[in-house]
Amino acid sequence: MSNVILNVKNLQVSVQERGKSYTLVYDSDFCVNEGECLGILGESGSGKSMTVKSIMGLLDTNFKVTGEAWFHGKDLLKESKESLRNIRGSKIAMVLQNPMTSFDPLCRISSQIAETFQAHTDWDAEKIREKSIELLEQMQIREPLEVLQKYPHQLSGGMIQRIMVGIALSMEPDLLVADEPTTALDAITQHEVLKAFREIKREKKTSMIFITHDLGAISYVADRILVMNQGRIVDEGSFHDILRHAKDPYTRMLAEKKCAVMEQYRRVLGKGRGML
Amino acid sequence: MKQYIMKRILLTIPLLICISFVCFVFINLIPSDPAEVALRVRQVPVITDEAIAEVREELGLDKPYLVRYAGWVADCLRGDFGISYTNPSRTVAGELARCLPATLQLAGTSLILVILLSLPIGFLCAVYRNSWFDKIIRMLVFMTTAMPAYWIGLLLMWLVAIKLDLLPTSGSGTFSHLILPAVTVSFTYISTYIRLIRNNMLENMKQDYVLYANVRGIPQKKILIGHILRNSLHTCFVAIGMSIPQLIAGTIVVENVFAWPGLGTLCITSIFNRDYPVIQTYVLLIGVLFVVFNLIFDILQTVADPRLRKEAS
Repeated sequence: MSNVILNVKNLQVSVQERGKSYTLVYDSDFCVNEGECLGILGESGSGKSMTVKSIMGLLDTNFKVTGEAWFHGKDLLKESKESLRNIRGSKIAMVLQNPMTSFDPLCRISSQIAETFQAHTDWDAEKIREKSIELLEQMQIREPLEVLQKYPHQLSGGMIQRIMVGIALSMEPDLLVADEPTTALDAITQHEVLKAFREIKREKKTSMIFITHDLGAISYVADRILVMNQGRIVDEGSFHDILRHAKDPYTRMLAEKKCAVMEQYRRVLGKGRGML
Repeated sequence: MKQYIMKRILLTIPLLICISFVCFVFINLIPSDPAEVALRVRQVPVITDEAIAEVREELGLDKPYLVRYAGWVADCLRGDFGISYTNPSRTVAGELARCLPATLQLAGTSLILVILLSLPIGFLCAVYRNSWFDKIIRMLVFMTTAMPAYWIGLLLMWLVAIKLDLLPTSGSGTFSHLILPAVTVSFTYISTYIRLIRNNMLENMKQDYVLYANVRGIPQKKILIGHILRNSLHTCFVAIGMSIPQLIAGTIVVENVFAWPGLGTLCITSIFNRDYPVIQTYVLLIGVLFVVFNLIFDILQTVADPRLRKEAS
Protein backbone atom coordinates (compact mmCIF):
# COMPACT_ATOMS: atom_id res chain seq x y z
CA MET A 1 0.00 0.00 0.00
CA SER A 2 1.23 3.47 -0.83
CA ASN A 3 1.67 6.29 1.67
CA VAL A 4 -1.32 7.25 3.73
CA ILE A 5 -1.93 10.98 3.57
CA LEU A 6 -4.90 11.29 5.91
CA ASN A 7 -5.67 8.74 8.57
CA VAL A 8 -8.86 9.16 10.56
CA LYS A 9 -9.48 7.04 13.64
CA ASN A 10 -12.56 6.81 15.86
CA LEU A 11 -13.96 10.09 14.61
CA GLN A 12 -17.11 11.02 16.45
CA VAL A 13 -19.04 14.27 16.00
CA SER A 14 -21.87 15.38 18.26
CA VAL A 15 -23.77 18.61 18.63
CA GLN A 16 -24.93 20.27 21.82
CA GLU A 17 -28.37 21.74 21.57
CA ARG A 18 -30.49 23.03 24.46
CA GLY A 19 -28.56 20.91 26.93
CA LYS A 20 -28.99 17.73 24.88
CA SER A 21 -26.28 16.06 22.89
CA TYR A 22 -26.93 14.45 19.51
CA THR A 23 -24.36 12.30 17.78
CA LEU A 24 -24.06 12.98 14.06
CA VAL A 25 -21.06 10.86 13.08
CA TYR A 26 -20.34 7.58 14.90
CA ASP A 27 -16.92 6.12 15.39
CA SER A 28 -15.60 6.45 11.85
CA ASP A 29 -12.27 5.10 10.63
CA PHE A 30 -10.94 5.72 7.16
CA CYS A 31 -7.83 6.80 5.36
CA VAL A 32 -6.83 8.46 2.12
CA ASN A 33 -3.77 7.20 0.25
CA GLU A 34 -1.43 9.35 -1.76
CA GLY A 35 -2.75 10.04 -5.24
CA GLU A 36 -6.00 8.28 -4.50
CA CYS A 37 -9.50 9.61 -4.85
CA LEU A 38 -11.73 8.50 -2.02
CA GLY A 39 -15.44 8.86 -2.72
CA ILE A 40 -17.86 9.28 0.15
CA LEU A 41 -21.37 8.33 -0.88
CA GLY A 42 -24.55 8.92 1.07
CA GLU A 43 -27.83 10.77 1.06
CA SER A 44 -28.23 14.23 2.59
CA GLY A 45 -27.98 14.19 6.37
CA SER A 46 -25.88 11.02 6.43
CA GLY A 47 -22.95 12.92 7.93
CA LYS A 48 -20.60 12.97 4.95
CA SER A 49 -20.04 16.75 4.90
CA MET A 50 -19.93 16.77 8.68
CA THR A 51 -17.08 14.27 8.62
CA VAL A 52 -14.78 16.40 6.48
CA LYS A 53 -15.80 19.68 8.09
CA SER A 54 -14.94 18.31 11.51
CA ILE A 55 -11.50 17.25 10.32
CA MET A 56 -10.85 20.70 8.88
CA GLY A 57 -12.02 22.52 11.99
CA LEU A 58 -14.88 24.22 10.19
CA LEU A 59 -17.59 23.39 12.70
CA ASP A 60 -19.08 25.81 15.20
CA THR A 61 -18.09 25.71 18.86
CA ASN A 62 -21.26 23.84 19.85
CA PHE A 63 -20.03 20.76 17.98
CA LYS A 64 -17.91 18.25 19.86
CA VAL A 65 -15.36 16.30 17.86
CA THR A 66 -13.39 13.38 19.29
CA GLY A 67 -10.95 10.91 17.78
CA GLU A 68 -7.82 11.40 15.72
CA ALA A 69 -7.12 12.69 12.23
CA TRP A 70 -3.47 12.35 11.22
CA PHE A 71 -2.23 14.50 8.38
CA HIS A 72 1.51 15.02 7.81
CA GLY A 73 2.36 13.88 11.34
CA LYS A 74 -0.13 16.25 12.94
CA ASP A 75 -3.38 15.34 14.61
CA LEU A 76 -5.70 17.90 13.02
CA LEU A 77 -8.24 17.58 15.82
CA LYS A 78 -5.68 18.79 18.37
CA GLU A 79 -4.13 21.61 16.34
CA SER A 80 -4.65 25.24 17.29
CA LYS A 81 -7.08 27.40 15.32
CA GLU A 82 -4.27 29.39 13.73
CA SER A 83 -2.37 26.30 12.67
CA LEU A 84 -5.54 24.81 11.14
CA ARG A 85 -6.21 28.07 9.32
CA ASN A 86 -2.74 27.83 7.82
CA ILE A 87 -3.36 24.27 6.68
CA ARG A 88 -6.77 25.10 5.22
CA GLY A 89 -6.52 26.59 1.79
CA SER A 90 -2.87 25.62 1.37
CA LYS A 91 -2.27 21.99 2.37
CA ILE A 92 -5.92 20.91 2.40
CA ALA A 93 -8.13 22.71 -0.08
CA MET A 94 -11.85 22.37 -0.44
CA VAL A 95 -14.50 22.95 -3.07
CA LEU A 96 -18.06 23.59 -1.91
CA GLN A 97 -21.40 22.63 -3.35
CA ASN A 98 -23.04 26.03 -3.93
CA PRO A 99 -20.67 27.98 -6.14
CA MET A 100 -23.11 30.87 -6.64
CA THR A 101 -23.41 31.68 -2.94
CA SER A 102 -19.89 30.79 -1.89
CA PHE A 103 -18.36 34.07 -3.01
CA ASP A 104 -18.99 37.35 -1.23
CA PRO A 105 -21.50 39.13 -3.49
CA LEU A 106 -19.97 42.55 -2.79
CA CYS A 107 -16.38 41.70 -3.77
CA ARG A 108 -14.87 41.25 -7.20
CA ILE A 109 -13.49 37.83 -8.10
CA SER A 110 -9.98 39.31 -8.21
CA SER A 111 -10.09 40.46 -4.59
CA GLN A 112 -11.39 37.11 -3.39
CA ILE A 113 -8.62 35.25 -5.18
CA ALA A 114 -6.08 37.78 -3.91
CA GLU A 115 -7.10 37.41 -0.27
CA THR A 116 -6.58 33.66 -0.52
CA PHE A 117 -3.04 34.24 -1.75
CA GLN A 118 -2.42 36.87 0.91
CA ALA A 119 -3.52 34.47 3.63
CA HIS A 120 -0.88 31.91 2.70
CA THR A 121 1.97 33.70 0.95
CA ASP A 122 3.81 37.00 1.09
CA TRP A 123 3.48 37.73 -2.61
CA ASP A 124 3.23 41.34 -3.75
CA ALA A 125 0.34 42.75 -5.78
CA GLU A 126 2.04 42.11 -9.12
CA LYS A 127 2.73 38.47 -8.40
CA ILE A 128 -0.80 37.95 -7.08
CA ARG A 129 -2.16 39.35 -10.31
CA GLU A 130 0.04 37.10 -12.40
CA LYS A 131 -0.92 34.04 -10.40
CA SER A 132 -4.62 34.93 -10.55
CA ILE A 133 -4.53 35.08 -14.34
CA GLU A 134 -2.54 31.86 -14.46
CA LEU A 135 -5.13 30.18 -12.23
CA LEU A 136 -8.01 31.16 -14.49
CA GLU A 137 -6.13 30.14 -17.62
CA GLN A 138 -5.43 26.74 -16.13
CA MET A 139 -9.13 26.26 -15.55
CA GLN A 140 -9.70 27.13 -19.22
CA ILE A 141 -11.60 30.29 -18.48
CA ARG A 142 -11.65 32.60 -21.47
CA GLU A 143 -10.74 36.28 -21.07
CA PRO A 144 -9.35 35.90 -17.55
CA LEU A 145 -8.61 39.63 -17.26
CA GLU A 146 -12.27 40.44 -17.68
CA VAL A 147 -13.46 37.67 -15.41
CA LEU A 148 -11.22 38.98 -12.62
CA GLN A 149 -13.05 42.30 -12.69
CA LYS A 150 -16.47 40.66 -12.47
CA TYR A 151 -18.71 40.20 -9.46
CA PRO A 152 -19.87 36.66 -8.61
CA HIS A 153 -23.46 37.20 -9.82
CA GLN A 154 -22.17 38.13 -13.27
CA LEU A 155 -20.69 34.67 -13.86
CA SER A 156 -22.34 31.31 -14.47
CA GLY A 157 -22.43 28.50 -11.90
CA GLY A 158 -20.10 26.28 -13.86
CA MET A 159 -17.60 29.09 -14.34
CA ILE A 160 -17.59 29.97 -10.66
CA GLN A 161 -17.25 26.30 -9.78
CA ARG A 162 -14.20 26.08 -12.01
CA ILE A 163 -12.74 29.23 -10.41
CA MET A 164 -13.31 27.57 -7.05
CA VAL A 165 -11.46 24.46 -8.19
CA GLY A 166 -8.73 26.72 -9.53
CA ILE A 167 -8.35 28.52 -6.21
CA ALA A 168 -8.25 25.17 -4.43
CA LEU A 169 -5.46 23.91 -6.68
CA SER A 170 -3.48 27.16 -6.82
CA MET A 171 -1.73 26.51 -3.52
CA GLU A 172 -0.84 22.98 -4.64
CA PRO A 173 -2.59 21.19 -1.80
CA ASP A 174 -1.76 17.64 -0.71
CA LEU A 175 -5.43 16.89 -0.25
CA LEU A 176 -8.39 18.25 -2.19
CA VAL A 177 -11.81 17.87 -0.62
CA ALA A 178 -14.80 18.26 -2.92
CA ASP A 179 -18.07 18.57 -1.04
CA GLU A 180 -20.83 17.76 -3.54
CA PRO A 181 -19.22 19.92 -6.21
CA THR A 182 -21.69 18.88 -8.90
CA THR A 183 -24.99 18.91 -7.01
CA ALA A 184 -25.98 22.48 -7.81
CA LEU A 185 -25.00 22.28 -11.47
CA ASP A 186 -26.90 21.26 -14.59
CA ALA A 187 -26.00 18.05 -16.43
CA ILE A 188 -23.63 19.58 -18.98
CA THR A 189 -21.72 21.68 -16.46
CA GLN A 190 -21.62 18.68 -14.13
CA HIS A 191 -19.83 16.72 -16.79
CA GLU A 192 -17.33 19.51 -17.37
CA VAL A 193 -16.55 19.83 -13.66
CA LEU A 194 -16.19 16.06 -13.28
CA LYS A 195 -13.82 16.00 -16.23
CA ALA A 196 -11.77 18.72 -14.56
CA PHE A 197 -11.52 16.59 -11.42
CA ARG A 198 -10.41 13.55 -13.39
CA GLU A 199 -7.73 15.58 -15.09
CA ILE A 200 -6.48 16.86 -11.75
CA LYS A 201 -6.21 13.29 -10.57
CA ARG A 202 -4.35 12.21 -13.66
CA GLU A 203 -1.99 15.15 -14.05
CA LYS A 204 -1.32 16.51 -10.57
CA LYS A 205 -1.79 13.23 -8.67
CA THR A 206 -3.50 15.18 -5.90
CA SER A 207 -5.18 13.03 -3.27
CA MET A 208 -8.89 13.69 -3.13
CA ILE A 209 -11.97 13.18 -1.05
CA PHE A 210 -15.02 13.40 -3.27
CA ILE A 211 -18.34 13.69 -1.45
CA THR A 212 -21.56 13.14 -3.34
CA HIS A 213 -24.94 11.43 -3.31
CA ASP A 214 -24.65 10.73 -7.02
CA LEU A 215 -23.51 7.20 -7.88
CA GLY A 216 -22.86 8.30 -11.45
CA ALA A 217 -20.51 11.10 -10.45
CA ILE A 218 -18.65 8.97 -7.95
CA SER A 219 -18.12 6.15 -10.45
CA TYR A 220 -16.46 8.66 -12.75
CA VAL A 221 -13.77 9.90 -10.36
CA ALA A 222 -13.41 7.72 -7.27
CA ASP A 223 -10.92 4.87 -6.85
CA ARG A 224 -12.43 3.65 -3.62
CA ILE A 225 -15.82 4.39 -2.11
CA LEU A 226 -17.14 4.74 1.43
CA VAL A 227 -20.89 4.54 1.88
CA MET A 228 -22.33 6.50 4.81
CA ASN A 229 -25.78 6.12 6.26
CA GLN A 230 -27.11 7.90 9.34
CA GLY A 231 -23.69 8.90 10.60
CA ARG A 232 -22.01 5.52 10.15
CA ILE A 233 -19.68 4.14 7.51
CA VAL A 234 -21.64 1.13 6.31
CA ASP A 235 -19.67 -0.07 3.32
CA GLU A 236 -16.30 0.30 1.66
CA GLY A 237 -14.82 -0.88 -1.61
CA SER A 238 -14.39 -0.19 -5.30
CA PHE A 239 -17.30 0.98 -7.42
CA HIS A 240 -17.74 -2.52 -8.76
CA ASP A 241 -17.85 -3.98 -5.22
CA ILE A 242 -20.42 -1.46 -4.12
CA LEU A 243 -22.62 -2.03 -7.13
CA ARG A 244 -22.47 -5.84 -7.22
CA HIS A 245 -21.47 -7.27 -3.86
CA ALA A 246 -22.57 -4.75 -1.26
CA LYS A 247 -22.69 -6.18 2.26
CA ASP A 248 -24.94 -3.53 3.66
CA PRO A 249 -28.68 -3.52 2.83
CA TYR A 250 -28.71 0.27 2.51
CA THR A 251 -25.93 0.21 -0.07
CA ARG A 252 -27.73 -2.53 -1.99
CA MET A 253 -30.87 -0.42 -2.05
CA LEU A 254 -28.91 2.60 -3.26
CA ALA A 255 -27.34 0.57 -6.06
CA GLU A 256 -30.63 -1.07 -7.04
CA LYS A 257 -32.44 2.25 -7.23
CA LYS A 258 -29.69 3.68 -9.38
CA CYS A 259 -29.85 0.65 -11.69
CA ALA A 260 -33.63 1.01 -11.93
CA VAL A 261 -33.27 4.65 -12.91
CA MET A 262 -30.64 3.75 -15.51
CA GLU A 263 -32.91 1.02 -16.89
CA GLN A 264 -35.76 3.50 -17.22
CA TYR A 265 -33.43 5.99 -18.87
CA ARG A 266 -32.28 3.40 -21.39
CA ARG A 267 -35.83 2.38 -22.14
CA VAL A 268 -36.89 5.94 -22.81
CA LEU A 269 -33.79 6.50 -24.89
CA GLY A 270 -34.49 3.31 -26.88
CA LYS A 271 -38.08 4.37 -27.51
CA GLY A 272 -36.90 7.77 -28.62
CA ARG A 273 -34.52 6.19 -31.12
CA GLY A 274 -37.23 3.88 -32.39
CA MET A 275 -39.46 6.79 -33.13
CA LEU A 276 -36.77 8.60 -35.02
CA MET B 1 -28.39 54.06 -14.33
CA LYS B 2 -29.36 57.63 -15.24
CA GLN B 3 -32.69 56.34 -16.44
CA TYR B 4 -33.23 54.54 -13.16
CA ILE B 5 -32.49 57.68 -11.15
CA MET B 6 -34.83 59.75 -13.32
CA LYS B 7 -37.57 57.18 -12.86
CA ARG B 8 -37.13 57.20 -9.11
CA ILE B 9 -37.26 61.00 -9.00
CA LEU B 10 -40.42 61.14 -11.12
CA LEU B 11 -42.07 58.55 -8.90
CA THR B 12 -41.71 60.84 -5.90
CA ILE B 13 -43.98 63.50 -7.45
CA PRO B 14 -47.32 61.73 -6.81
CA LEU B 15 -46.04 60.89 -3.35
CA LEU B 16 -45.31 64.55 -2.63
CA ILE B 17 -48.77 65.58 -3.85
CA CYS B 18 -50.37 63.06 -1.50
CA ILE B 19 -48.27 64.25 1.42
CA SER B 20 -49.09 67.90 0.84
CA PHE B 21 -52.81 67.19 0.51
CA VAL B 22 -53.07 65.00 3.58
CA CYS B 23 -51.05 67.47 5.58
CA PHE B 24 -53.28 70.37 4.50
CA VAL B 25 -56.55 68.53 5.16
CA PHE B 26 -55.58 67.19 8.54
CA ILE B 27 -54.40 70.49 9.86
CA ASN B 28 -57.53 72.23 8.68
CA LEU B 29 -59.59 69.65 10.53
CA ILE B 30 -58.30 70.94 13.88
CA PRO B 31 -61.49 71.98 15.72
CA SER B 32 -60.97 75.62 16.55
CA ASP B 33 -61.10 78.84 14.65
CA PRO B 34 -57.63 80.06 13.78
CA ALA B 35 -59.00 83.56 13.25
CA GLU B 36 -60.24 83.74 16.80
CA VAL B 37 -56.96 82.36 18.17
CA ALA B 38 -55.01 84.83 16.08
CA LEU B 39 -56.96 87.72 17.55
CA ARG B 40 -56.37 86.40 21.05
CA VAL B 41 -52.64 85.99 20.50
CA ARG B 42 -52.47 89.50 19.06
CA GLN B 43 -54.04 90.61 22.32
CA VAL B 44 -57.08 92.27 20.82
CA PRO B 45 -59.15 93.24 23.87
CA VAL B 46 -62.68 92.55 22.63
CA ILE B 47 -63.24 89.83 20.05
CA THR B 48 -66.28 90.77 18.01
CA ASP B 49 -67.84 88.83 15.14
CA GLU B 50 -66.82 91.60 12.75
CA ALA B 51 -63.22 91.40 13.90
CA ILE B 52 -63.19 87.63 13.35
CA ALA B 53 -64.68 88.03 9.89
CA GLU B 54 -62.09 90.65 9.10
CA VAL B 55 -59.19 88.45 10.19
CA ARG B 56 -60.67 85.55 8.22
CA GLU B 57 -60.64 87.63 5.11
CA GLU B 58 -57.13 88.83 5.91
CA LEU B 59 -55.86 85.28 6.31
CA GLY B 60 -57.83 83.99 3.34
CA LEU B 61 -59.87 81.59 5.47
CA ASP B 62 -63.16 82.60 3.84
CA LYS B 63 -62.26 80.91 0.57
CA PRO B 64 -63.25 77.25 -0.12
CA TYR B 65 -61.00 74.36 0.84
CA LEU B 66 -59.60 73.30 -2.49
CA VAL B 67 -58.94 76.87 -3.58
CA ARG B 68 -56.96 77.40 -0.42
CA TYR B 69 -55.07 74.14 -0.97
CA ALA B 70 -54.22 75.01 -4.56
CA GLY B 71 -53.14 78.48 -3.55
CA TRP B 72 -50.99 77.09 -0.76
CA VAL B 73 -49.26 74.53 -3.00
CA ALA B 74 -48.63 77.17 -5.67
CA ASP B 75 -47.11 79.46 -3.06
CA CYS B 76 -44.99 76.66 -1.63
CA LEU B 77 -43.58 75.87 -5.05
CA ARG B 78 -42.50 79.47 -5.32
CA GLY B 79 -40.81 79.15 -1.94
CA ASP B 80 -43.39 81.31 -0.20
CA PHE B 81 -44.75 79.41 2.77
CA GLY B 82 -46.97 82.22 3.98
CA ILE B 83 -47.00 84.46 6.98
CA SER B 84 -47.45 83.37 10.56
CA TYR B 85 -51.08 83.90 11.67
CA THR B 86 -50.12 84.95 15.14
CA ASN B 87 -47.25 87.20 14.23
CA PRO B 88 -47.86 88.85 10.84
CA SER B 89 -44.46 90.48 10.82
CA ARG B 90 -42.77 87.09 10.43
CA THR B 91 -42.74 84.77 7.46
CA VAL B 92 -43.01 81.02 7.99
CA ALA B 93 -39.86 80.43 5.97
CA GLY B 94 -38.00 82.87 8.19
CA GLU B 95 -39.24 81.16 11.35
CA LEU B 96 -38.19 77.71 10.11
CA ALA B 97 -34.83 79.00 8.94
CA ARG B 98 -34.26 80.51 12.37
CA CYS B 99 -34.99 77.22 14.18
CA LEU B 100 -33.57 74.72 11.69
CA PRO B 101 -29.84 75.07 12.58
CA ALA B 102 -30.44 74.21 16.24
CA THR B 103 -32.41 71.09 15.29
CA LEU B 104 -29.86 70.03 12.70
CA GLN B 105 -27.11 70.45 15.28
CA LEU B 106 -28.99 68.26 17.72
CA ALA B 107 -29.95 65.64 15.12
CA GLY B 108 -26.46 65.61 13.62
CA THR B 109 -24.77 65.10 16.98
CA SER B 110 -27.23 62.35 17.79
CA LEU B 111 -26.59 60.62 14.48
CA ILE B 112 -22.84 60.66 15.07
CA LEU B 113 -23.39 59.28 18.57
CA VAL B 114 -25.66 56.55 17.20
CA ILE B 115 -23.14 55.44 14.59
CA LEU B 116 -20.11 55.67 16.88
CA LEU B 117 -21.73 53.65 19.65
CA SER B 118 -24.03 51.14 17.98
CA LEU B 119 -21.57 49.98 15.35
CA PRO B 120 -18.78 48.71 17.63
CA ILE B 121 -21.19 47.45 20.28
CA GLY B 122 -23.36 45.59 17.75
CA PHE B 123 -20.22 44.17 16.16
CA LEU B 124 -18.81 42.92 19.47
CA CYS B 125 -22.18 41.46 20.46
CA ALA B 126 -22.27 39.42 17.27
CA VAL B 127 -18.65 38.28 17.53
CA TYR B 128 -18.96 37.30 21.19
CA ARG B 129 -22.55 36.16 21.02
CA ASN B 130 -24.00 34.65 24.18
CA SER B 131 -21.05 35.91 26.24
CA TRP B 132 -21.74 37.97 29.36
CA PHE B 133 -21.03 41.15 27.38
CA ASP B 134 -23.65 40.25 24.78
CA LYS B 135 -26.17 39.28 27.46
CA ILE B 136 -25.78 42.53 29.39
CA ILE B 137 -26.04 44.63 26.24
CA ARG B 138 -29.10 42.72 25.11
CA MET B 139 -30.76 43.36 28.46
CA LEU B 140 -29.94 47.08 28.23
CA VAL B 141 -31.22 47.20 24.67
CA PHE B 142 -34.43 45.57 25.79
CA MET B 143 -34.86 48.12 28.56
CA THR B 144 -34.02 51.23 26.58
CA THR B 145 -36.30 50.24 23.70
CA ALA B 146 -39.17 50.24 26.15
CA MET B 147 -38.28 53.63 27.69
CA PRO B 148 -39.84 56.69 26.05
CA ALA B 149 -37.39 59.47 25.11
CA TYR B 150 -38.92 62.18 27.29
CA TRP B 151 -38.64 59.95 30.34
CA ILE B 152 -35.01 59.14 29.60
CA GLY B 153 -34.53 62.89 29.19
CA LEU B 154 -36.03 63.64 32.58
CA LEU B 155 -34.04 60.86 34.26
CA LEU B 156 -30.79 62.10 32.75
CA MET B 157 -31.62 65.65 33.71
CA TRP B 158 -32.33 64.61 37.28
CA LEU B 159 -29.20 62.48 37.57
CA VAL B 160 -26.58 64.36 35.59
CA ALA B 161 -27.76 67.95 35.88
CA ILE B 162 -29.35 68.08 39.30
CA LYS B 163 -27.81 65.34 41.46
CA LEU B 164 -24.31 65.40 39.98
CA ASP B 165 -24.51 69.00 38.79
CA LEU B 166 -22.28 68.30 35.80
CA LEU B 167 -24.26 69.79 32.94
CA PRO B 168 -26.92 72.48 32.54
CA THR B 169 -30.54 71.27 32.61
CA SER B 170 -31.78 73.24 29.63
CA GLY B 171 -31.11 75.96 27.11
CA SER B 172 -28.58 76.13 24.33
CA GLY B 173 -25.45 77.90 23.23
CA THR B 174 -22.48 75.91 24.49
CA PHE B 175 -21.37 72.37 23.86
CA SER B 176 -22.32 71.32 27.38
CA HIS B 177 -25.92 72.29 26.64
CA LEU B 178 -25.90 69.91 23.70
CA ILE B 179 -24.76 66.75 25.49
CA LEU B 180 -27.89 65.79 27.43
CA PRO B 181 -30.45 66.33 24.66
CA ALA B 182 -28.23 64.58 22.11
CA VAL B 183 -27.73 61.57 24.37
CA THR B 184 -31.47 61.43 25.01
CA VAL B 185 -32.37 61.54 21.34
CA SER B 186 -29.78 58.93 20.38
CA PHE B 187 -30.62 56.49 23.19
CA THR B 188 -33.50 54.68 21.47
CA TYR B 189 -31.73 54.66 18.13
CA ILE B 190 -28.59 53.20 19.61
CA SER B 191 -30.48 50.20 20.95
CA THR B 192 -32.32 49.72 17.67
CA TYR B 193 -29.09 49.78 15.72
CA ILE B 194 -27.18 47.53 18.09
CA ARG B 195 -29.91 44.95 17.57
CA LEU B 196 -30.00 45.51 13.82
CA ILE B 197 -26.24 45.19 13.36
CA ARG B 198 -25.96 42.22 15.71
CA ASN B 199 -28.75 40.27 14.01
CA ASN B 200 -27.58 41.19 10.55
CA MET B 201 -24.08 39.97 11.33
CA LEU B 202 -25.32 36.72 12.84
CA GLU B 203 -27.46 36.20 9.74
CA ASN B 204 -24.46 36.82 7.49
CA MET B 205 -22.25 34.47 9.50
CA LYS B 206 -24.44 31.57 8.38
CA GLN B 207 -23.91 32.36 4.71
CA ASP B 208 -21.95 30.09 2.40
CA TYR B 209 -19.41 32.77 1.58
CA VAL B 210 -18.28 32.83 5.22
CA LEU B 211 -17.79 29.06 5.21
CA TYR B 212 -15.88 29.32 1.95
CA ALA B 213 -13.69 32.13 3.31
CA ASN B 214 -12.87 29.84 6.24
CA VAL B 215 -12.22 26.97 3.86
CA ARG B 216 -9.63 29.10 2.10
CA GLY B 217 -7.95 29.89 5.41
CA ILE B 218 -8.65 33.61 5.42
CA PRO B 219 -7.82 35.11 8.87
CA GLN B 220 -10.86 35.52 11.14
CA LYS B 221 -10.36 39.28 11.50
CA LYS B 222 -10.50 39.77 7.78
CA ILE B 223 -13.62 37.64 7.40
CA LEU B 224 -15.37 39.53 10.19
CA ILE B 225 -14.54 43.06 9.05
CA GLY B 226 -14.00 42.69 5.33
CA HIS B 227 -16.91 40.39 4.58
CA ILE B 228 -19.45 39.94 7.36
CA LEU B 229 -19.50 43.51 8.65
CA ARG B 230 -19.40 44.93 5.16
CA ASN B 231 -22.38 42.87 4.04
CA SER B 232 -24.29 43.70 7.23
CA LEU B 233 -23.70 47.43 6.80
CA HIS B 234 -25.21 47.27 3.35
CA THR B 235 -28.48 46.18 4.89
CA CYS B 236 -28.27 48.76 7.66
CA PHE B 237 -27.46 51.50 5.20
CA VAL B 238 -31.03 52.22 4.11
CA ALA B 239 -32.24 52.05 7.70
CA ILE B 240 -29.68 54.69 8.67
CA GLY B 241 -30.81 56.82 5.74
CA MET B 242 -34.38 56.68 6.94
CA SER B 243 -33.30 57.49 10.48
CA ILE B 244 -31.99 60.90 9.49
CA PRO B 245 -35.42 62.49 8.86
CA GLN B 246 -36.71 60.46 11.80
CA LEU B 247 -34.07 62.03 14.02
CA ILE B 248 -34.97 65.51 12.77
CA ALA B 249 -38.66 64.91 13.39
CA GLY B 250 -38.11 62.94 16.56
CA THR B 251 -36.45 65.81 18.38
CA ILE B 252 -39.86 67.44 19.04
CA VAL B 253 -40.38 65.95 22.47
CA VAL B 254 -36.78 66.11 23.58
CA GLU B 255 -36.40 69.72 22.44
CA ASN B 256 -39.32 70.64 24.65
CA VAL B 257 -37.95 68.77 27.65
CA PHE B 258 -34.61 70.55 27.37
CA ALA B 259 -36.00 73.89 26.06
CA TRP B 260 -33.88 73.50 22.94
CA PRO B 261 -34.80 76.33 20.55
CA GLY B 262 -35.25 74.18 17.45
CA LEU B 263 -37.99 73.15 15.07
CA GLY B 264 -39.68 70.96 17.67
CA THR B 265 -40.19 73.81 20.09
CA LEU B 266 -41.40 76.03 17.27
CA CYS B 267 -43.85 73.34 16.19
CA ILE B 268 -45.32 72.82 19.66
CA THR B 269 -45.74 76.59 20.20
CA SER B 270 -47.43 76.86 16.82
CA ILE B 271 -49.79 74.01 17.66
CA PHE B 272 -50.84 75.80 20.85
CA ASN B 273 -51.34 79.04 18.91
CA ARG B 274 -53.20 77.32 16.03
CA ASP B 275 -50.65 78.87 13.71
CA TYR B 276 -51.71 76.81 10.68
CA PRO B 277 -49.11 77.98 8.14
CA VAL B 278 -46.22 77.10 10.47
CA ILE B 279 -47.61 73.66 11.39
CA GLN B 280 -48.46 72.89 7.79
CA THR B 281 -45.04 73.84 6.58
CA TYR B 282 -43.36 71.88 9.37
CA VAL B 283 -45.33 68.72 8.59
CA LEU B 284 -44.71 69.20 4.88
CA LEU B 285 -41.00 69.72 5.51
CA ILE B 286 -40.71 66.50 7.50
CA GLY B 287 -42.71 64.60 4.88
CA VAL B 288 -40.49 65.90 2.11
CA LEU B 289 -37.39 65.03 4.12
CA PHE B 290 -38.57 61.43 4.41
CA VAL B 291 -39.22 61.18 0.68
CA VAL B 292 -35.93 62.83 -0.23
CA PHE B 293 -33.79 60.74 2.12
CA ASN B 294 -35.53 57.58 1.03
CA LEU B 295 -34.74 58.50 -2.56
CA ILE B 296 -31.12 59.43 -1.87
CA PHE B 297 -30.34 56.26 0.06
CA ASP B 298 -32.13 54.03 -2.42
CA ILE B 299 -30.01 55.46 -5.19
CA LEU B 300 -26.83 55.28 -3.09
CA GLN B 301 -27.53 51.64 -2.28
CA THR B 302 -28.08 50.85 -5.90
CA VAL B 303 -24.75 52.43 -6.70
CA ALA B 304 -22.98 50.59 -3.88
CA ASP B 305 -24.38 47.09 -4.44
CA PRO B 306 -23.10 45.41 -7.59
CA ARG B 307 -26.19 43.16 -7.78
CA LEU B 308 -28.64 46.07 -7.71
CA ARG B 309 -26.46 48.08 -10.07
CA LYS B 310 -26.98 45.43 -12.71
CA GLU B 311 -30.74 45.42 -12.28
CA ALA B 312 -30.92 49.19 -12.51
CA SER B 313 -28.94 49.54 -15.70
